[in-house]
Amino acid sequence: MDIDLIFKIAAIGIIVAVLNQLLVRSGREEQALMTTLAGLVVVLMILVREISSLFQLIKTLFQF
Amino acid sequence: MELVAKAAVICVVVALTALLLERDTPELGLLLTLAAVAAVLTYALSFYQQVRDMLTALMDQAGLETALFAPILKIVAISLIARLGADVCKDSGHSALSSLMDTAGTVCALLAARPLLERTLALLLGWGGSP
Repeated sequence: MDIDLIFKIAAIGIIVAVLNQLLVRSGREEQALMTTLAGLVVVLMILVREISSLFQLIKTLFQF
Repeated sequence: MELVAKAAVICVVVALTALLLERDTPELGLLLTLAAVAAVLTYALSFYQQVRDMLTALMDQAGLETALFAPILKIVAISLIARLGADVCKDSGHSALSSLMDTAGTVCALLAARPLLERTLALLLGWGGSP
């Protein structure tokens, strides 16, 4: 099972959340939003590949 | 047993982490849930080949065509994807998208079952035609 992927996404999420809090508290809301967006795009790029391979597996196994 | 234990541990850990993430960045919490879904489903499906082999052997012993069995497998896959998709939409608070996903799944399942329905109809018409 690909647990590394889950840990990777959780780590990115925690780092982004901490950065978001720091930037918001220091009054840089725009940069906080940009950080969140960057984290979102990075995680999406990782996840899209994984979900694509999952769908491929489902198509093969269930004879589509 | 091992699969269930691993899946349970991963799901609980991911649920706790997602709760933590959802306070500041709810979108990343949802993506983490999606990652867990993809990982656990891929792992679970790696055991599915054995089940399919057993079902194919049963079909062979019963003298039935394996082509008749393919739509059932397709419907199982469609329901799996539709339910997970709908639940992820519901988790993000979009019930309308969730209902839409359910409807799309139902339509796709009906389309996948069409060959079976046509064969059944042809069989019934054949019986009705002969005295």
